Amino acid sequence: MGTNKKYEMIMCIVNAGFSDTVMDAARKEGVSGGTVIHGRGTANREAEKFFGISIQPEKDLVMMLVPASIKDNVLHAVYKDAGLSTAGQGIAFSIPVDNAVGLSEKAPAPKKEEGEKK
Amino acid sequence: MAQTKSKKEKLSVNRLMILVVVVNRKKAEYYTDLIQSFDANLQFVGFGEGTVKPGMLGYTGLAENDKAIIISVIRADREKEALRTIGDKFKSVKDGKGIAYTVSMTSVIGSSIFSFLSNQRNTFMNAGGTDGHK
Repeated sequence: MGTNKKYEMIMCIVNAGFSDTVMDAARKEGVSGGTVIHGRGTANREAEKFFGISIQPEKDLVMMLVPASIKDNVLHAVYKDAGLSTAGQGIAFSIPVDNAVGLSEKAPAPKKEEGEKK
Repeated sequence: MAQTKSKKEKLSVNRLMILVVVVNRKKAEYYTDLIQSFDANLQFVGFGEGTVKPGMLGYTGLAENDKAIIISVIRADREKEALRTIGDKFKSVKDGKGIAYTVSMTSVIGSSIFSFLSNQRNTFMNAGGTDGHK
């Protein structure tokens, strides 16, 4: 098998156009790449009316396969930069991955800026 | 009674897993055919984009940014073989690089659905064909 390292799949659903915000936040924590799928959200219309909010239906789903060791940091970073309290209105969750192949070991991890808060 | 129990046991032998493969869009058909050879009866292909910055594409060995996301259901006993083969193809097929991973499924409802997803044709016929759902 490709690797013995434990991985997790982070999925983040944000308003369309905010996938770069998610990736920028994730890159700061050492994620090298991800995949974006464009989709359409299906919120409860009655609930939207009741609570007086509107949900933008166009969504981006960002999928990132990350080492389990940095999962929490990535989720926190994504929540901070693209969470529900931001314009991205994102939700993020992780799924445990049993096995993975095809991950590049050679890709250099982005360097953290000096003095950057973790 | 004992016969019914034995049928139930047969149906719950193999666990199912979700196999996700992300590859270049033009290689989607090649990989769906490959995955199908591992008893995967259900496949979903969606299109997306990679997020690797253009300058990094060369580093990672990726050639294009348009991706296909293939989501399949595979039996757990075929998972290792499938991942190994797909991993080998990532290294040997031109522009065929990508990532693949598996996630365990925890529940499935309906024995005929389970038989379909796990491609257990004999078990399905022995269990009486359908599970009565229309």
